[in-house]
Amino acid sequence: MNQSSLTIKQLLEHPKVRDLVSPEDIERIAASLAGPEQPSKDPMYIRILYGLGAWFAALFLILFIGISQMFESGAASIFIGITFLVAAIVITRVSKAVFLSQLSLALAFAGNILILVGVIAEIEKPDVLIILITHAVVCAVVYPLYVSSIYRFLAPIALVVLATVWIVDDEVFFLMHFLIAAEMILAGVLLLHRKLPSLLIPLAYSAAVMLPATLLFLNLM
Amino acid sequence: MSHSELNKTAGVGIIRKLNRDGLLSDDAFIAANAVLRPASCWFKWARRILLFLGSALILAGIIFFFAYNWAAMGRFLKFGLIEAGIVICIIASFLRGQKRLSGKVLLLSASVLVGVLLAVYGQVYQTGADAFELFIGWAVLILGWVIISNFAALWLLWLILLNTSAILYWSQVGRPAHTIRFEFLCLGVAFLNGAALTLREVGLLKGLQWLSAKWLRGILLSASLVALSIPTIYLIVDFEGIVEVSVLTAFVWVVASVGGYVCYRFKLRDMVSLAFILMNACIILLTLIGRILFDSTSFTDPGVYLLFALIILGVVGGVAFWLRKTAATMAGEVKESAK
Repeated sequence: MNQSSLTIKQLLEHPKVRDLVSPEDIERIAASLAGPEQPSKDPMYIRILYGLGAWFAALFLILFIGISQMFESGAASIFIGITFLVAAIVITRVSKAVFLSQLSLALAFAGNILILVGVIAEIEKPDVLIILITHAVVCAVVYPLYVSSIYRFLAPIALVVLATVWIVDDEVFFLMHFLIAAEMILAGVLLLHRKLPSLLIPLAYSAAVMLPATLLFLNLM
Repeated sequence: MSHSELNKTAGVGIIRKLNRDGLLSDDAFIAANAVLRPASCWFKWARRILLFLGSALILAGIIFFFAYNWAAMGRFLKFGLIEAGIVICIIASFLRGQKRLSGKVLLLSASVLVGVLLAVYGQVYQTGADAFELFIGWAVLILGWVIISNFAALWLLWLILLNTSAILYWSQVGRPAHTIRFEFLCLGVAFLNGAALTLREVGLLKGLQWLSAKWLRGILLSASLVALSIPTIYLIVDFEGIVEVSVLTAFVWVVASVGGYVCYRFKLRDMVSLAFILMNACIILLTLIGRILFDSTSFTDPGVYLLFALIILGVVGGVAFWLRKTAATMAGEVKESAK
């Protein structure tokens, strides 16, 4: 029998499994499966489409703000960025409609970028480390609040890319060993965790991509 | 045990969820996981990956070996080493047989080494030939092996060589002499990849299982549509410089997109291909809307940027909604036809 075409019943009755599952467990499993079906996750191609659309929309949102001369000062840009992020978080909590999900993702991308732009404008000598710390703070605050697997996947990768840029830019190359070690430990811990909370699943995928992203950016720079 | 819910197909995702919800103990989860994905699956996967990675790294090593030791080697040594490599690969491939993956990969390696041989030949004798001639020669020389290989990766290599030849021919001969327009190159590349895609689908329907890899479909479909999209976008952006062939390319893009949609929606039923076709159509549509919008207003008007951002979200959201709906309908149709 092809193992990939087993039903749940056949799997639970399999000689290797049946002694580990009690009749009560089976009753509970059947009751759980009979319950209202959870809305299935969007397939990868739809998530890619969402991500691309949101990036382009975010770009035009930033252009709109730039041409409106709303961020003449860094503080204004930071304020608008925070407003966008709050709006994005509120929208995802209020509605699951496709258009609003897209809008919230675009607002989150634009908000994150606007805060970074605002911080750069506020400081006299822009430094990659400041941008890195700012993004780390934004990411740490927004990640648990904003329910979007696309943002949760991309924001940590952006953090690692910024860390790589900072290490190369400031020529603190010995830190690269720590960065790679940290990436491997994070990926190992998250990917080997058997009961990973759904909040951390995008971070686990992100961690798996971090090491190639670091190596790629290291070679590009 | 008479619960109908338990007749659903078991998957790793379901048992992981049951384990996470505390309905399946850790030991039961590990045992069930081992039944669904036995160790032999992982060994098979690892063997394949290591075979491909090992072959790719050895071939890269050979190329870098020549680059690094170029000055220190005589021409006979250079040719001798590469030819010996080709002969060894061919003999080993023959001994392993074309039904085994290792035999196929050895034939692929020999085909790559033919390209290395031609490149070394061109460098040693300074033939002065254009680069496109090297790629055409390479494609012609390995054609026999490609035909007997029954190996999708080798066919793809051959197609990449033909595509590269066409692009280099245009940039080295057609463009400087103003004899071939860019649109004709795009039409040619699209036709080449489109024909390969059609042959792949027909071959699969005729039972050629070695063509069943989904990535081959994705690569060929995207190569065809991208080749047609570039001149179509160019036509939209630079409408003033319109010529007949630009309109022809745009028309072919429409035909290819509609044909592809009908084929992958009703005949071959593949959501990933449908998603790619619709994503591509999205880009063209948004380019058209953007052109009209920014033409009718001023670039300094901030409201247009906001409006365009909302239009992007609307169009992409609409396409995502359509895809979701189509995926659900298609899943129902597949269930119906299976009954």
